[in-house]
Amino acid sequence: MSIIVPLLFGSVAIGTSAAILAWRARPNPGATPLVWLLIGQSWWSACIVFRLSAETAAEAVFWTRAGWVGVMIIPVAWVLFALEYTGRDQYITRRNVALLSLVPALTVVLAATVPYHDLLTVRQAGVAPDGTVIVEQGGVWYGVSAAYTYLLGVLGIAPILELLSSRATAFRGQSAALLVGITTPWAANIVYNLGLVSPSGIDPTPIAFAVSGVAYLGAIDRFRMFGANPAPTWRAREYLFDHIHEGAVVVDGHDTIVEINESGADILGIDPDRALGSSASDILPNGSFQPDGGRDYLTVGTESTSQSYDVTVTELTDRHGRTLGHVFTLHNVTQYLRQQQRLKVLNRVLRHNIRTEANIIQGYAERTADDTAETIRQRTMRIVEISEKGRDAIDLFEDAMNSQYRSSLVDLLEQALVAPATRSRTSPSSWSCPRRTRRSRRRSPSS
Amino acid sequence: MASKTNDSPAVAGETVQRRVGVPASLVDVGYRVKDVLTYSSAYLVFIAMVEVLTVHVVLSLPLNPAPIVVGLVTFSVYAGDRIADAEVDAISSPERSAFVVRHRRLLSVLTAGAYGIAVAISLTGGPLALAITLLPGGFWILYASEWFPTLGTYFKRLKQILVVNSTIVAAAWAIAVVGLPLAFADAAVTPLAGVVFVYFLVDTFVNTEIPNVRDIAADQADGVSTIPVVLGVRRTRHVLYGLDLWLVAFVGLSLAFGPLTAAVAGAILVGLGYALVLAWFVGRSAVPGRLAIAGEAKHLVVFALLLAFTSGI
Repeated sequence: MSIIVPLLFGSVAIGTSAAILAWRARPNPGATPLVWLLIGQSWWSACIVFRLSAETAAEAVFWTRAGWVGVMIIPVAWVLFALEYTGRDQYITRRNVALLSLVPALTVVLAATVPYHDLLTVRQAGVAPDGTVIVEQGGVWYGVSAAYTYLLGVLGIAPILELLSSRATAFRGQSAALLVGITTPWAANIVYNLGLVSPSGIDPTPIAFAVSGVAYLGAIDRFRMFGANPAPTWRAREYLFDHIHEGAVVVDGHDTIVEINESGADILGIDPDRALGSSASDILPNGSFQPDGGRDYLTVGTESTSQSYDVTVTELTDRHGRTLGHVFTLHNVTQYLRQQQRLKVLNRVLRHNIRTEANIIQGYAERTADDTAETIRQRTMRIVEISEKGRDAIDLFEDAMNSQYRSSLVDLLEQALVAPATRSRTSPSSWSCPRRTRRSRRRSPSS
Repeated sequence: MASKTNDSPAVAGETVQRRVGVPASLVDVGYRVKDVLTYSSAYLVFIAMVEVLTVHVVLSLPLNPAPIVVGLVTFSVYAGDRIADAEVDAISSPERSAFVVRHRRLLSVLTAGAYGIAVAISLTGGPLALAITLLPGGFWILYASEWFPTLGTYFKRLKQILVVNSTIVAAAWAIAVVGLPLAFADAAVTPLAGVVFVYFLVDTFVNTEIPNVRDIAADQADGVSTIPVVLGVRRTRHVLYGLDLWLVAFVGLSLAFGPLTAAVAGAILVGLGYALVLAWFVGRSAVPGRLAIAGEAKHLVVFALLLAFTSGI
């Protein structure tokens, strides 16, 4: 008891200070839920102080019941903080907050009406040697609220854990401090509920909040929690995927569409809500969305307004190189194809005209009887041959675009560096290539 | 406890001329200390603690942690307010604003820590002491926070509403100054406590309006309706005369028909005479910042007289 009381005072002092700092940090993401979290833990600690200093059993029971308000604020505030802080605030709707608060609100109501039911019991269980009233809590709902609290604790920890692997030192520090801040009191609470500590019946959880407060203060001040915030990262990735000009469809290894952006849905003319979770084979046009690459450009729309897309397949792999799925990106090549078509026609017309003019010149030349006619004929044939080079240029361009089998840079380097060295029996220069984590294959158009 | 000060720091040349024989470095340190005390509102902590001690003496309460708690809360709220208003204060109080901006991070941590410690200490006084300790902070949120306007255009910052702004400040401090010693002592609210509360309520209201005369331009720019903004300087002076004279009458009646003793009434009446003289200077003083400090310093006069009268000196 002698150690517990100063720790509780410390918990309140640190919690209140951190709450004020968090309040001033509004409207930074996560600041407001953190204020509520710290208010909840400070209130819980304050209620325990009042309970320990209670002169009557009724007073001690009253403050134990009042402490439930703080107890149930904490898990809800923690989840809201984790979502907002990591940029997932789109899930923080009034409806979701109300749903999250349902069990806590019921718990507070049950705590307020303890004398009228046995779902949540709060009663005197004796008097400690120092005169402190020992209060015992229990009932079916006690277990429900504890389980719910732990569940929300884990749910909130999940997005914070992601930040531990962030490349930014500040975010790693912030997330580590936050995890210490939240896991310490929860661990203390689990130990208490298992009956491993505190024979006097005092829940050590609020005392552990002193550690939380220090951790939160560290996150705020040392790691600039509200000065360098990771919230935009998540949203930026979403934004880029959703608003990129090119269409994108993500298909998992089981042929299920797991993500599609707005452009992709518009191009394919499908409802994203209907597409997500559906089989890619059923929803996407046959032949164009093959992990091993298809053969044709994807053409959508009617004849006059048709648009052509080059579908690029990118394989997604895990860290062990196992295929997780594929990203199909749709790049609009309509303009390119039209220009290519015009170029072909122009080339054909040009060659035809040159050939025609050459024939006319040859006809006139044949009317002459000397060697000059032969020279003119040879020269005009030469002009026709040169004009054919235009077709070769187009064919060369198309061959480059149509090439199904692209050369690997690694293979080319091997040929260029290793093979000559082997032939000349000299040591090749050392070189290495980065590990391939993603492969992209461009499909081959037939036209 | 409602003061704002902004006198320009003395320049080095003036300092040397005025402090002949005193090492320049010592004078410089002295002026730096003065700047820290005035710009961070630390001097108000001392005055607030003296006010609480006055309540202790008047109500014959045993010494308890109330003066410390009120001092910590005063520092937290006033320095916190100056952090929040640093940009706006750049118009009316550029030196103070620069000081706050320069030390913003340190002040922010100190003020938050001060309130946290105050709340922790207040737990020893029970739930009522905790509630009273939280009151100035809660009132400050209502008073200055932008939270209300987010609820709709109907609401606006209470800080901007005429009379309401100063009344909130005065009520919060009067409750804290009078209520906290009572809560810690677990003493009952007596008629004498009521009289002391009214005195501190009206007096704090007056002290809140004195610096508003200097801040007319800044308050107008910020959309804050204070008595000087609405009524002008001359009529504000008349309002302050009226409030001080009303207090004189109230103290006289409390002495004649109520629980106030002659020693307490005498100390308060001398203090009110001092306040009336200060009210005459409102709008006429070339150093309005010092006028505001002088208004707060009245409590030191009252406390000194109270000690002198009650101890029979």
